[in-house]
Amino acid sequence: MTSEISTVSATVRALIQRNLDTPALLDLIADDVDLVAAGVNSGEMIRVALACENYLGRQLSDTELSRMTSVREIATVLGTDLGA
Amino acid sequence: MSATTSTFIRVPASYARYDVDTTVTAGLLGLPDGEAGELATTHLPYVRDPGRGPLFDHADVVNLALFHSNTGCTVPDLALRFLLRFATAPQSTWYEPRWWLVRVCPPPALLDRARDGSAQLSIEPADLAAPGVVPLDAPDAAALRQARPTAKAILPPGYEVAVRITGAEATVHDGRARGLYQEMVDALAGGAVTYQSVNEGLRARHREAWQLGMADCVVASRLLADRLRDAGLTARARRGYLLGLVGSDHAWCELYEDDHWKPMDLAFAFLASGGSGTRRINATPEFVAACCGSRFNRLLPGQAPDALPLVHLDGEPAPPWLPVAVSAHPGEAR
Repeated sequence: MTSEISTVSATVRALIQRNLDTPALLDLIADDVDLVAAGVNSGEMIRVALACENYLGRQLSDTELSRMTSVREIATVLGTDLGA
Repeated sequence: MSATTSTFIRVPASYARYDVDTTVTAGLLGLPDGEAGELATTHLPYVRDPGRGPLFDHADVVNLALFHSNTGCTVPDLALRFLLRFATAPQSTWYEPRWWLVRVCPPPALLDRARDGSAQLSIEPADLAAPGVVPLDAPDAAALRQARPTAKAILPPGYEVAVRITGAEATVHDGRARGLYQEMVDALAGGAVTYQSVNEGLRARHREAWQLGMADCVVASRLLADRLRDAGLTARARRGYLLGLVGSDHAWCELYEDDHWKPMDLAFAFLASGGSGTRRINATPEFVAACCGSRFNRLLPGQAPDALPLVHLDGEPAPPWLPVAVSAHPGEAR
């Protein structure tokens, strides 16, 4: 990942990356870009959502699930205090 | 995983399409290739391809994931759980106007074949004239797109639409319609018919699928529409996308009553009231009641009649293991 395309926490990107069939794909996706349109499939999105629930230790709300469409939005759902 | 195999009905060989390999199977089961292959060959019918190894029917594999993990953590389990999370949200959120930016993106494997002319790929467009669906004005749509950029253009037959979907709280009044609906909910809840994944071949023969004891949202919605029409009522089956974490292929029935179409969603009703084990969703009695007449603000119908498939490859339903990717971005309605 180049530093130019991401300003969000490395922790968040690592969490997403662990749940992709091809982790390197995320290196090509900027923070605000539509993940699904960029090639992340629905099964991967579902695994990411589960990983977020496990990380937070609670169920995500419908609103939170719906907004998880980009790296930045996922970072927002997970909170902004994760550190880089 | 449990070794029990009696909880779902395998696709009869005459309708099966054995073309899912162990790699795809492993992804659905959430297991390493070797373990997934062993489990699937033990419990599912298959054919052995000299080059690809054992090949399974996609619906059988999905059902193996749904019925045998007992963890609730396979991809099909989680998809149900996440997409129906809205049922636990406040009732007003089911109906309030909601903006959606929806992108339907063909998988590269199919798009490449379509673009080099070796296959014909078609995707049903969204029904922008459906009840409750209104395309956003150009400035609002542009703002929504700008806030949610794509890394690359969405190539046809993929598409992007920005819509406002407004739900409506209603109930079906006709006693015959309610009776037929409840009869089918009871058949699913009582186990006479198993709610499971059904392949497209059997979906096309929905009456036969029901008689075999299996149904999914497509089979149930087509059959209910048939039964309502047989009773002299005006009904149709619809198919489109359930919007949420992603957009998911979903079908439901609609009854024309009181001068408008009222959705009757057997799948939602079953999962909310009769679904068992990990597939049961937490829902209130109000949600169960809403499944018989109310329209939710997250269903975007396609234009295809009779809940026909949304994606075709060379005139046939596209392979389910190469689904179109559907992103659904909520926006703030004004």
